[in-house]
Amino acid sequence: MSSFNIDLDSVIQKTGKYLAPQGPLKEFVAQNPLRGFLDLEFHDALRRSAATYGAWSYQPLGFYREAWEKGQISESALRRSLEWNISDSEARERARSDLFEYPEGSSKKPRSLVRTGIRAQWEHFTGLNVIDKSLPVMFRLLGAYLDQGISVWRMPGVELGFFEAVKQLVTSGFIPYRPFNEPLVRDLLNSDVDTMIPRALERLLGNPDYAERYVMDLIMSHPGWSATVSFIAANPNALVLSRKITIKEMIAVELLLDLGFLSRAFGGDFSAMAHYGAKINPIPMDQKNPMARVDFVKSIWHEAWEWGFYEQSLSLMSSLRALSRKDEKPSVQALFCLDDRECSMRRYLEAEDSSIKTYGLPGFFGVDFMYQCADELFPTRHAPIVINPTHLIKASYNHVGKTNPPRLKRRLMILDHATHTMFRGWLITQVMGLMAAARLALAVFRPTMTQATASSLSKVNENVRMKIQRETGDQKSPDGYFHGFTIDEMGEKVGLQLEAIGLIKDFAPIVVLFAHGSSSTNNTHFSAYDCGACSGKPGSPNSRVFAEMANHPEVRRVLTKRGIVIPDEVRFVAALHDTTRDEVKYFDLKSQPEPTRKALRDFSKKMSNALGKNAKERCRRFEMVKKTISDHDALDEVRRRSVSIFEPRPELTHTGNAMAIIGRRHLTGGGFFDRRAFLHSYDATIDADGQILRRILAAVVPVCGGFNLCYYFSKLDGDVYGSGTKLPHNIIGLIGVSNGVEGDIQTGLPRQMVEFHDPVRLQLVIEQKPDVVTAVFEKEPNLFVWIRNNWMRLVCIDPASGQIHLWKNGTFVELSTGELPVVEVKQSARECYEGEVQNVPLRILNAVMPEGGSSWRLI
Amino acid sequence: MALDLIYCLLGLPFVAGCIVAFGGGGREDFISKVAVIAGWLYALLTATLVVVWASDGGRHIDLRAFVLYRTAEYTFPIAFYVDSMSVVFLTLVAFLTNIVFKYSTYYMHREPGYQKFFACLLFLMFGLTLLTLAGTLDLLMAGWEFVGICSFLLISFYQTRLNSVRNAFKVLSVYKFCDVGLLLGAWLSHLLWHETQFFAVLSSPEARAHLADVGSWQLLLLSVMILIAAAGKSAQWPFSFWLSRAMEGPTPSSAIFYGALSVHAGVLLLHRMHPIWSATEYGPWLVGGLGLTTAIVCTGIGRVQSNIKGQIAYSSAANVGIMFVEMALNLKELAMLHMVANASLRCFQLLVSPSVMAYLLRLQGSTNSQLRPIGGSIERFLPPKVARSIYVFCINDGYLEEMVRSIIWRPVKIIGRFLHRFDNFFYWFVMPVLLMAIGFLRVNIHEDVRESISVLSALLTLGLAVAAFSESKSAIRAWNTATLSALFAGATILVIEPNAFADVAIYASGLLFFGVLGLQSLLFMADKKSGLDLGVYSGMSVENPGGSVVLFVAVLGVSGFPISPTYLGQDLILHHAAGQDIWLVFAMATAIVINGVSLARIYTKVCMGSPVERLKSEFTHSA
Repeated sequence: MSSFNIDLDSVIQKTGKYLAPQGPLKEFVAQNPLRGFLDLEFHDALRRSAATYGAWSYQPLGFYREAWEKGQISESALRRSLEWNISDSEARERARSDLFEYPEGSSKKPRSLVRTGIRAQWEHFTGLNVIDKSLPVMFRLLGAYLDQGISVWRMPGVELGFFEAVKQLVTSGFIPYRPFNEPLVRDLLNSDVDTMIPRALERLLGNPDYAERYVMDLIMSHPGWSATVSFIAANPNALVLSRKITIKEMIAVELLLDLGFLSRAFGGDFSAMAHYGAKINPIPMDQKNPMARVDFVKSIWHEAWEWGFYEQSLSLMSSLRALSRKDEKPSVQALFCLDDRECSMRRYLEAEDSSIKTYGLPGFFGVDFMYQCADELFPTRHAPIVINPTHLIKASYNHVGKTNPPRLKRRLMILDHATHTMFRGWLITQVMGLMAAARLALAVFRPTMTQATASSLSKVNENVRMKIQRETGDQKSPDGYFHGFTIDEMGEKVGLQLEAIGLIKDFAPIVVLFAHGSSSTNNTHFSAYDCGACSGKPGSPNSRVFAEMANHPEVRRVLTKRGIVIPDEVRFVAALHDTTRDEVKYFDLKSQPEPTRKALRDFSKKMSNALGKNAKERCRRFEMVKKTISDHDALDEVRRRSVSIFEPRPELTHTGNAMAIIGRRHLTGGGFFDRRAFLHSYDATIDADGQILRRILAAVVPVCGGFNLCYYFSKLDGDVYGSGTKLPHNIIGLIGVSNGVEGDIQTGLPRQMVEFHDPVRLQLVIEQKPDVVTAVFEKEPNLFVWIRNNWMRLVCIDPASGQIHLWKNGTFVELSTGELPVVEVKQSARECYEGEVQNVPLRILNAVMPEGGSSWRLI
Repeated sequence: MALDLIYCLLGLPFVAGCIVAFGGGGREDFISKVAVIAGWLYALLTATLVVVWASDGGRHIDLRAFVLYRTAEYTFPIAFYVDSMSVVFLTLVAFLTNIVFKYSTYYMHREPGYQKFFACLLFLMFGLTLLTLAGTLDLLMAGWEFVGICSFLLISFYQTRLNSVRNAFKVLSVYKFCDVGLLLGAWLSHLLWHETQFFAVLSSPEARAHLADVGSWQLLLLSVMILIAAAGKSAQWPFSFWLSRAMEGPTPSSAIFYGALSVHAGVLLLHRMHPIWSATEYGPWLVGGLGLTTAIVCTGIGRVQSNIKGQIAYSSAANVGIMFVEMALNLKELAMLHMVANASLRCFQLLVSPSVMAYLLRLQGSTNSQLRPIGGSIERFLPPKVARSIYVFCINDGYLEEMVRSIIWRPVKIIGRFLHRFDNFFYWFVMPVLLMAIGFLRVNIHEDVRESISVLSALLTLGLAVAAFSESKSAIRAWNTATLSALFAGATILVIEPNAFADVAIYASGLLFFGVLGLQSLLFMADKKSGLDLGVYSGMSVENPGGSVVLFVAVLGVSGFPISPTYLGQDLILHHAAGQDIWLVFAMATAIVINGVSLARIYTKVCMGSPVERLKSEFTHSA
């Protein structure tokens, strides 16, 4: 008996390492689904993960070969990939021929851990598919226990913990809960979890050697639910209705189910697994097999394909850097989130007026806090997911004295519980049913914004006032947060952020802070569309707080002491860019002086033009939209998409994301990056020791890397790493989505969000000297591991000379521009993208070769 | 004029469905244009029909088109019937399908299976129109079958997912089982009135007088049969479990089928047969009791659903139960109003179900506690033990699935397994002997001998059907057994009435043609993969789409779907059987139903799922 006391905690930890926890969908943030494998080299991790989940490691061979035919992979890219991955020249020749001749159809998905496990062998030996029987019951119990508001009746005993609640439910009642009523199971239910599990394992397996693998099988039979449970176990307060649950309890209940079903089918004396002599197959994570030939060939192709894109981008940045530009005094400085969607916005804005200078920074503007709006019960985090804010900002309505206007009316009663009752429901159904017919017709034929829309303006509106200041010396409030910032804290935060983007002098008269959010309807993944730097929320509170802080005279005095002198006439204005609707809202205009308001009015006209062009560029991806649509109609189209209940693609978010560029604008201004770059402004000349860079990388690497890999894997294998297609999705407990009523929770992104994505790894470009960068990374091993294990590509561009240094195999290798392909020049963005739905090559825009000149000049 | 309108109403979706399915090269813009135009035209035609009907004072319209088949004692007329229920239901169909077409044009964009989706929806429209306008129970059943097959195809839309396939089959088996009600009901109508009873005539004074003469137990039996058919289609107790399982397909298909239209078909059936079941003493009690039971049970089950689509499904079923009660209380107009309201509401709720995430979360985080959707505890107003028992009952879907399976399907499986022991005996001894005996019947034989041979033949029919149902290894063997069983049904009739040769020939022609077709396709597909084991899902539609389509058509043909003469033939067979003995009728009908399920199972196992590799090679015994 004692031999069955397996170290459950270590098994759970081992398995949990490869099962990235998934939080409830209300705070969906795109993260690397393979983050448990981060300590392995990338290609190695791909294989092991594929073997664990039964997924693809690469695209099919045919995909790469087709890309070669179409010219998307150049000869130089192929050669480079071969050179860099194979040292022996003979082996290189063989590999080269294999690239084109290795047989196509021979690759299949590997069998997952569960299918080669012990639990799956029950069917083989006894004919009973235990997994198929246990899972529906398990999901139902988990869904009922963790439900956050869909069911009308709560599960009895939710306050007792999962195991105890199930125990109570199945033992005390008149009606038996099959198969828990089997004598074998009832016997085990009398003990607690820690005693019960070894006994159950013994009865099931008979041989302690099977135990570890069996527990792993249990956990991995439903990776979605297991990921959710492990997240909730670590963060019980992540749920509004908090619930206590642990993986151990989940395993316990599932073991009981297995026992119960076996007992029901074969009577109380079914044989344990040891009797059948089941085979223990090696665990994919531990496998020592060398890489299969076909996978190796694909990895070469994949690196060549990636390099085909990277070399374009490096060539473009070199060319842009070499352009001569007009030196103008800035009339407006606009700060955008580093989000790749804003990449095109910045380009259009600068093209409208070259005196407008744009900057990129994380959308929380460096001010992390918990935000609690007037009619909200709980504060929410407005900071990247890796930061735990210690400050709280409360917002209230402006109409002091009157009762709070109920912003949230029950106009969408259609989804209320009342329709699901019997007597009241009968009456309500009659009345609402006829109304429903009318509203349905309207919703489909004339979509407008309703309560069903998750609006980007939900957090902030004109009537909300925020309390952001507190006195030095105020203690933490009982809720554990400081309510507001002191002047010194404000100065520090503003100062750090301005230094990070290199905006410490030459301020324009107005500095506009564009936060971003998204509005969509009938969209379960709505928080994935909002600002990732604000944990899946619109960043409008952050921009308002920053603006108020930066406009505060006392804060400016603190900044002056830091060396950042902001003249009095410079005003900061907060704004929100709705990326789905391409709309902009400016905040707190009444508190600005007249000259600022006038300047803003001029600016907003230019911004509107830019928005129209941006909308048109976005529309190229939408097949159902006419190619020749005008800017005005494009705006209508994207706004329609945000309010239509039938539109599964309101916007294409981070589709195509492929690089993060940390540097000055001269690397990227004037280039057509096809909305594929995260852009963070950074001035290496004020950061000789890399302190600022270190702070930037602490956010950029995990956030952008997380986005990139989430999209990568959801595209690579949508059924395993992504959430399949949106269409049959069913919401479980307000926690996640599943297919149908009996399916596992789907993690990752749906196909509709990643259709046009090219799964390439993120190329991190830093405009700083390589030795400074290396020093910074050595101080941050958690970030370095991304680079060292090739989850991300690192490139440094010398700020003075422009020399490109590629990180390869532990060191930097110099790259000359002669080795890079030449990038074409086009006169407008429209020429670059018109008519294309897929990703298009990168280009230089609006440049001319002046008469008698030798280098391109930006118009 | 009205007849022409009806022909157009029927022809439009059917033709549009064929165009979408076979023409246009599968291009999205072509398909959606055809569908949307068809939808608008349909709405126009429906409006015209309503006007025509209303202008006549709202009296029901009875249209006898032509007679499909006639013998001395039997007619199969094609007749149509338009009354207030038809008008209301047709308007609902027109309205909701137009909305779903527009919705799906965008929602299904770039989804593989776009063509299949729209084709199924158009054929569904056709089936519902036929159902609504049918003037006889036979024709209503034809529409019923169309709706059933389209449901099956749409639930298994994502057919590489095993859950979808399994649930689609579960739903189909409930449909097929409950069709026994319609089958027997149709037969019984023939019997009682010695000709097909037209709906139009059912409520007339002559019919009422005739009803008074008919034996009350026969009427009650007919009512029970109709009730079973209605209960199955409308997910009433004890069949309510299939409704939430059916939510496997794309949301718009779930909305239109299970929210809105096909789930109310049972109400329509009850409305049509109202004169009959309300004339019996217990009929209204049964209908009302079933409805009330459903309403109570489904409300309870709905309350513990933690997923949104399941919750909506059970609420819909509960409301249909209340509609049954309303029909029992003769509140027909109220039932119709309720039907329109429920259909619209559930369709809308399902179409916007993803919004519940954002909406309920916002309510939940709201300071206004009245808005919060936090579930109350059932223990608040009941003693704990009772509360928990109720909760356990509800969270297990009322144990309805287990109940149905153990009462209906498990006995069949057990008998089948028992019969399999005598496989060789059957094939090599009994069958040839019986065949010879039947052949000899051309000669004059004594009545008693004839009767015993017919009994033996009927038993063989049933036995083969059960054997096919429980065949777990070879798909080809199961196919042959099922087809043979159907043929023996015909042979049985031939034994009883040698003069019925023409009728039996009609019946058998469809069987032989489609049976051979199906066998060929199975053999063809088996070449690629040996054996076609019925224990796994072989996923042949991925590797061999052509063969799968052929098999699908063959399955439809052999089971008596209205594309094959067997559809008419089944009716004839039952009619002849009725002349003998009621037990014979039941045996025939049971065999037909069981065969229908077996054939569907063969198709599901062979063609659906994803091409799977045998697991067994992985697990060798450890050394």
